[in-house]
Amino acid sequence: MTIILYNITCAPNVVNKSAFLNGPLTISNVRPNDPCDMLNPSLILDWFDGISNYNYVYIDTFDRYYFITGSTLTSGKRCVMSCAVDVLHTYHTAIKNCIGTVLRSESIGKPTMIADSKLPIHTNQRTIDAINFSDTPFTRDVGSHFILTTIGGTPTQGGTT
Amino acid sequence: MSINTNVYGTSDTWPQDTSVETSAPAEQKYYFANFGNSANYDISTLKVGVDNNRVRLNTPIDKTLSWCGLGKKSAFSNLEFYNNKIGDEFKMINKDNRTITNFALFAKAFPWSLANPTVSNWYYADKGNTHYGSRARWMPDAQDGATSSTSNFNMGLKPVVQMPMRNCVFVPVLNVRKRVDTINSDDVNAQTVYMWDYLNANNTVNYTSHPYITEVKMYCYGTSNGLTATPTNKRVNVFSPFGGCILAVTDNISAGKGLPFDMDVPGAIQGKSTQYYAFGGDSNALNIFGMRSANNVYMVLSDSPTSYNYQARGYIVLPHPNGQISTPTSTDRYTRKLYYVQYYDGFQEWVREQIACFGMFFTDDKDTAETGDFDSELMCLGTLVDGVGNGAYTHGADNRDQPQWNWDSTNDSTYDPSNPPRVDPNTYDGVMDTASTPLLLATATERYVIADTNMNKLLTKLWDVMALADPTTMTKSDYALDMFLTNNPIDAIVSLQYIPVKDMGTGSTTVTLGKYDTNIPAAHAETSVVADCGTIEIFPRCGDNWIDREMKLTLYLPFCGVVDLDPETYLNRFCNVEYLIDLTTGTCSAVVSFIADNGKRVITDIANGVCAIDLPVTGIQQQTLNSELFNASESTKQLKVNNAFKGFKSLMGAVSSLQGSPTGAIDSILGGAADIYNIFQSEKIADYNLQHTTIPTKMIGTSGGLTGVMATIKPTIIYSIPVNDVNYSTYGHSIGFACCETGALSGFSGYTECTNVDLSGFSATTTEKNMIQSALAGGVYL
Repeated sequence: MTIILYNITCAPNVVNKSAFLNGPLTISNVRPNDPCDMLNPSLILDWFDGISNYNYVYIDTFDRYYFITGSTLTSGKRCVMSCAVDVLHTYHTAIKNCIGTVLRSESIGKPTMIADSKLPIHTNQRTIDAINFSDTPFTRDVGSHFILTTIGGTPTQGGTT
Repeated sequence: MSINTNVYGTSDTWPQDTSVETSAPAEQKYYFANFGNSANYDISTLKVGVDNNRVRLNTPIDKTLSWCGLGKKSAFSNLEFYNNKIGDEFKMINKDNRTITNFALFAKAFPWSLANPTVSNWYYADKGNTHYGSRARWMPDAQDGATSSTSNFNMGLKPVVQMPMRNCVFVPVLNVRKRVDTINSDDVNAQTVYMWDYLNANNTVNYTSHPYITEVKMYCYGTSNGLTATPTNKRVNVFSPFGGCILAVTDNISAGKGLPFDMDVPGAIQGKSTQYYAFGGDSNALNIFGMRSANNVYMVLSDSPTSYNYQARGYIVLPHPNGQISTPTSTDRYTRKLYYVQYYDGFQEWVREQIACFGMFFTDDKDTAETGDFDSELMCLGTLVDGVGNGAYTHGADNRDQPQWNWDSTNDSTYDPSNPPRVDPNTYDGVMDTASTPLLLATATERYVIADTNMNKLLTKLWDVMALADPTTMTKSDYALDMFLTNNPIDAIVSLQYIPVKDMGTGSTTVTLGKYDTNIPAAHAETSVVADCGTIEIFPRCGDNWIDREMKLTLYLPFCGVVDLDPETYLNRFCNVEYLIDLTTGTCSAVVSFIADNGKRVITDIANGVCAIDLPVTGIQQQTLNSELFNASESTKQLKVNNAFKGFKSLMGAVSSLQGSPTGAIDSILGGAADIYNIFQSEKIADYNLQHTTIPTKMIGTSGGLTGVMATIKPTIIYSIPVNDVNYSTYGHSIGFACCETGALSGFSGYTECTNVDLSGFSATTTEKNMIQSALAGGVYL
């Protein structure tokens, strides 16, 4: 089988790693280590200087991209390369077209209405502000503020009813 | 919507009327069920009612023509029914109240056929003749019972079984009048006018010249050519060739509910049979407001017992909330009355809402009606929620967002009249208001508002008036009794309060104590004060997100304490504080409210407090005084004098302790009060005490606190905002912002966590797809 070795510089959980695939090196006549799991294959190839610089591989037989999880030097300057499938980059085009429910997103750009338990706000450290309403019925000014209640009525002459 | 083919036949039997359109595609034509055109039933598609192809009186009316439900705002859901029997008081006797009303649309096959669909009254069986149900009922029985066994009484009706969406625009038309008080001679001033003409003040007939509206109808505009979004020919009223059209309620109505179906058989109640009613007007229009009886729009009481056979016994009204019945100047008992509404600013919108209930295109603009695109600015489209129209609508490009935009015809509706959606029956238009109290009725007291600077004159005046007493004429106690109805002039003062409130008085007067005018300037005290403190928009301080909801909002209310405002409720809304102050007791209530999204005020908190200080005044209990005068011994007198002065001194002490208040106003008062205290130490008090050594003192009211006015006197909102010093850029890149959005992942970028991703559509092993799901849930960089 033919493989292409890469050196990737991005995080494993980057979906589309196309921009991070550096130094491609195509190698033919690579043999799978029998039996060979498609998701976690082991490959046998000839050792060469600089092989340890590669951490990512495309296997054309499986049409998948893999992380190189380990390399073991064996007799005859051969190398057994352990791999784990990278489903994110392998299916990155299809994944982007899928519909799902996004629970966290960088592209939102700012906090939303959804409470975020991971955002470190300090509820015990608060900024205090105050704002007065524009008007009030009350006053401290000198004015007419006494209400006097007195016996009412008006005297009439002759006591008529 | 699935039309009942047992009643209306299959679509291949539906004829179109060639007078409507000729060359349009099938989905853009009006189709009608064929109920026959003569007494020959054979050509009728009417399948049920096997008894001569007639639907019997007790057969439920088929509802499947209803492409939507008319919501509770529709006048058809609120029909009103009025009596017309002379001798009875003219009044509403029943009123419908449906949350959803189903309907059917008919064109009239023949003018004034036996089924006479233009008659808009309902009939009762009478005098043994049981053939008079609802005259326009489809079809209870023959209008003329004698021929009921041989005739096709449904031939006059053309049920509309397809309304083409792209060939139907409803247009409002009005019947308006200059006046409504002299209808008999005033019919000539009734005018039928398009809404767009009526709203143009330059026209002869407009909303100012003819402000009384007795009918609102709608024309159904369409074209007869091939239909496109922009018709090549002007749209016209498509029902015009029929000489009439009907909009029929197919739900039970309460027209005769509780009334005897047959006057000779009182036990046979009308409401036992399915009721049905059709509104058909002249001018080939569909009524949506007003009253229409046989051929006319007026009501008249009838006194002929036999007239029930052939005249309207009652009237059905498509109501308006402001609808009224006219009061003609004539006292003639046959005087006709009109149901009308007077034009007001919101009338056009009300009409729009009524038409919108049908979920169809409509406009009140002439050019748009005749040639406008269906997404033009003034073309409206009624909004249907679960198939029910309740007055909402869109216009312009927003029409494209409505499901009806994609309908070819009303037959594409998914509304099922037999299984209508559950509708909230409530109307959320509650109002929470406050108002001033009415003036208190005149009581035995007078209430004054006195300036702070005049208070120190008051009790001096009391001493002055006592000094006027002439001991050669009468004793001082008799003099006091004559002047104040009491031996103790201070008892003329019922209460004295300090209330630090603005604008408590009205008018100007002088303080009178008994007969004695003190000449102290004052104003009459108001009963209460309602004061609006203004409005503050509770603006989000953290970017209008969940952190703002962690904010604490505390509202300080002078004299009433504090209340916590719920940020979820108040954020982005306007908070209002209003004070209701009872000046008779000094209690005050702070009403905290906000303006809800529907523009209505919602009160969330009412905090109560007291803003008055009852200032102590000595008084006399007359009965006790009399008892004491006659029975007390000298030693007892002395004891009581001591007690009295203890109490008195304590009162004055309490007042004096208020000195030092930070407010100048209080200082000035207490200066006066201190003067009073000093006065009582003077010789005058000795004179007073000589006459009142046995008088117990009492305290009217209690000393109130002034702390309220010492603190801030304006309502104040205190924001307590959690500190957030996170760098959003790095935070978002490392862990993303919490959200809950559904969509294609291509719409997101950067760090993303998502769940329940639909991974169908591409080939991968199950294990791989599980790995993808797991990876997406754990967070990836898109």
